[in-house]
Amino acid sequence: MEKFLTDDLIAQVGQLFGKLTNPVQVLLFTSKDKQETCEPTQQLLEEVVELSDLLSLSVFDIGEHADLASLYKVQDKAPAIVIAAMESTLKFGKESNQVTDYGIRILGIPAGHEFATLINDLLLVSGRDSGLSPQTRKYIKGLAKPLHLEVFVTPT
Amino acid sequence: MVLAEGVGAMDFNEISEKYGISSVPDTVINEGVGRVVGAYPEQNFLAELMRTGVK
Repeated sequence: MEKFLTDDLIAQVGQLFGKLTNPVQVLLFTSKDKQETCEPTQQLLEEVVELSDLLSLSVFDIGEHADLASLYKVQDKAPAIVIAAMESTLKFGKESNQVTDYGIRILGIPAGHEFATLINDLLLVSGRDSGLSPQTRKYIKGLAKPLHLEVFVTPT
Repeated sequence: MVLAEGVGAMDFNEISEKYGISSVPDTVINEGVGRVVGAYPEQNFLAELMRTGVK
């Protein structure tokens, strides 16, 4: 199959990925009735995670993993990309991996401008730092109810 | 506590139509309690969040 990422892009992204510090777990939720967008999204993500050992990808069909999709609030939203932190801890001498969800999602194929958003999200989650100002952090810490932001975007 | 979704407006016509998205970026706060059309610096965005009373 033809690759999405050109050699130029691979070199650029590879350079940016030099700043990755901690493991990132990407979860992709797909759906059989949205194959035309889910398949290219999966291929793109596979090509991206291949560029760093700190990135890993798991793919789930929303129909087959309805509970997981519901846990991540992505039912009816394929293709949905969850960009989560992966923490490895030693428990009783055994390494166990824990996924920490920061609530960051990309819904739809991250093409065009949205490819940059994907790369940025990976870097942010890897750094475990939102980069937000002290005022914004204070506001978020004080939230009594969940905050849901839907940022509508297009690839161009 | 915060769910932040970047929604491909063309991939999710139904949600886009529900909110009447006509230009991007367009940020819908808590299912329409607030709205920020266009890209703004973080400070302005925070001010809009506070104005809408989302606490």
